[in-house]
Amino acid sequence: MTEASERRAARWILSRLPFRTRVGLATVVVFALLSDGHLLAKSLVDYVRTARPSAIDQYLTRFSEIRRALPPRGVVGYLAEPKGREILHGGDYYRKFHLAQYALAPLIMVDSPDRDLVVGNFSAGARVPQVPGLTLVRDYGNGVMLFRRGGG
Amino acid sequence: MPRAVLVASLAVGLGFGLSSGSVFVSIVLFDGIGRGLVVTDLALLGGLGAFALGRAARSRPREAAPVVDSPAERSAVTPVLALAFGLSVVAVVVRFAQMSLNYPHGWWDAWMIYNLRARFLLRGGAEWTDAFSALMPIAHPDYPLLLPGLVVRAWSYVGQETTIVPQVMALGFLLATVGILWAGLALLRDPDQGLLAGALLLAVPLFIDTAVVQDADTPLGFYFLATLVLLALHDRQGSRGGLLLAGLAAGLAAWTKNEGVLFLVAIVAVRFVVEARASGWRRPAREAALFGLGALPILLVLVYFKTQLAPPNDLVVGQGLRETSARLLDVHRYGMIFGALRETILNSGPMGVVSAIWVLAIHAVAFGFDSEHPSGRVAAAALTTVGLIMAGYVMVYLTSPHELQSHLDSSLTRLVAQVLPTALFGYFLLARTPREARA
Repeated sequence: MTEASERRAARWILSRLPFRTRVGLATVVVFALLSDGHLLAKSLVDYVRTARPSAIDQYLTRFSEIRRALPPRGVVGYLAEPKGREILHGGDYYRKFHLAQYALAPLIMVDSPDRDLVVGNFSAGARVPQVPGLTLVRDYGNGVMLFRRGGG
Repeated sequence: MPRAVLVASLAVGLGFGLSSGSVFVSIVLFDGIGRGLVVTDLALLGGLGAFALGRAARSRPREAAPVVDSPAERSAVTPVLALAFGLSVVAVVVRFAQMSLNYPHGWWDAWMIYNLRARFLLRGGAEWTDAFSALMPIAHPDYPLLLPGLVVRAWSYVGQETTIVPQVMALGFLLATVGILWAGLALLRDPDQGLLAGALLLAVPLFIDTAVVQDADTPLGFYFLATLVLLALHDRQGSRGGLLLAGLAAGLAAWTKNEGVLFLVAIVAVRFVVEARASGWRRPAREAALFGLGALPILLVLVYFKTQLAPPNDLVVGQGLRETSARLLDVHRYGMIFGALRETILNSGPMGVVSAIWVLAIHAVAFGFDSEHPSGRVAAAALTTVGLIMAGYVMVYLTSPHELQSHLDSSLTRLVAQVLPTALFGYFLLARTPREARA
C-alpha cells in the first residue's frame, strides 16, 4: 500500500468512528497537547527566572569552613533566629535547619543549644547572640558561627 | 516493540530495587560502605550468572512463548495518539532537565530525607547507623532505604557525591513507569490503549511535578504498577516467573516507602478474594505462596531494617487511645481531608483549567467498557487496591498527630501521584479501545 492510499484508508476509517468516539479521542489528545504546551512554557520561564548555581548549592557553601572545624561525627546543637509558627516542614526556619543538617552530615544536628558544640545559623550580618552558657568560638561570616558550652 | 519496552522498563525498576537491597546487605555485613560492596556485587553477579548458565544448560532450546496474543497492528488513530504521546514524553524530559538544572538536589523530601540518608551512609563509615538516629525525627529515619541505597551505591562507585546520580535514578523511574504502562496495555489490550493511557498520565501535572523532584513517590508508583502489570500478564500467560516477579515488585514497594507495606497487604488480600470468588481458594493460595516467595528476599531485608535499625515511626508514636479517639471523632477533620482530596483531583489539569477526571469521564462516556475482557479481574483488583490504599491514607490523615492542614499540604498530591499510574492501568484495561469502539 502506498503512503497516499494508506492516508486515504486512515481518513476513511477515522470517518467511520462514531461521533462520540471521535470526541473522546479529541478530548484526550487536546488535553495532552495543552498540558505539553503548558509544561514547556513553565520549564522555559522557570529556567530563565531561577538562579544558578541553585539556592541550595549557594546556601550549602556557607557551611564548608565550619565543617572542617567540627568533629567528624557526633551530635551538635543548633541556634538560629527565633522561629515563627512553623509546623512539620515547609517553613523557612526548618528549611534552614535541615539544609544545615544536609551540609554537615554525618554530624547529627539537634534543634537545641543544649549541647557542647552549637552551630549558629543566622542571617548574614546578624549580631552575635548572647546566650547564657554559650561562648562564641568563631564567626565564619555569612551568619554561620560556632559556639561552645561553658569556657570563656 | 511493546515486549522490548516492557522488559526494559522492568529491568530498570526491578534492577534498581534489587541493587538497593544488595547494597544494604553489604553495608550490614561489612559494617559500612566500602570495598565490601565490590565483594557483595561480585558474589551476587557470580551467583546469578552461575544460576542462569546452569538453567540454560539444563533446558532444551525452545521457541520463546508469546507474552500474550500478538499486539494488534497500528490503526487509523495510532499516528495521532503516537504524536500526542511522543510530544508528552519530550515535554516531560525537557521539564525534568530544567528542574534538574535549577534544583540539582531535588525538592524538600529528596534532600531532607533520601539524599541526606545517602550522605550519612557514605560519609559515616563505621558509624553508618547514625543515619537512623531518632534525634532527627522530621528527617524520617524510619523510612526504608530503596532510594538512599541506590544513590550511595552509585556515589561509592563514582567516588563523589554528584547530584547527577539521584537525577538519573528519578528519570529512570519516570520513564520506566510510562514505559510499563504503555507496554502493559499494548500487550494486554492494544497499542492505542497504551498510547491513550500514557498521554493522559503525562498530561497530569501533579504526576509530573512529583516525578521531577527526586521524591520516592514515583518509584513507589512504579512498583505498584509493575505488580499489577505482571499479575495481568501472568493471568494471560500462566507463567510462574511472572508471579515471582510480581511478588518481587510488591516487596520493593515496601522497601521504597512505608506506604508500600500497605500496598503489599492490600494487593495480596484483594487478589486472593477476587481470584477465590472466581475459582475457589486452592489456586489463589498457591499463587499467594509464589507471590510471597518473590517478595521474601526484600521483605527479609525490610524486617531486619525495621526491627534492628529504624526508630519508631512518628505517626505511630503520636498515637494514644484518648488522642486517637478524639481525632477519629472530630468531624471537622473528615471535612478537611475529603475537601483536600476533592481539590487535588479537580485541580489535576494544566493551569487548573480542565481536570483530568473530567477528561476521563468524557472518555468513559465516549468509549464505554468491556466487562467481559480476560483482564477484567486484574483491572478490578487494581482499582480495588487503589481504593483500599486511598482509604488507608485517609485513615492515616484522620489519626495523624501532626497539624492536619500542614500534613495534607505537604503530602496529599504525592500520595495521589503514587496511585495514579495503577488507577489508569486498571481503567484502561476495562475501557474499550478505539478499535473496539468502532466495531
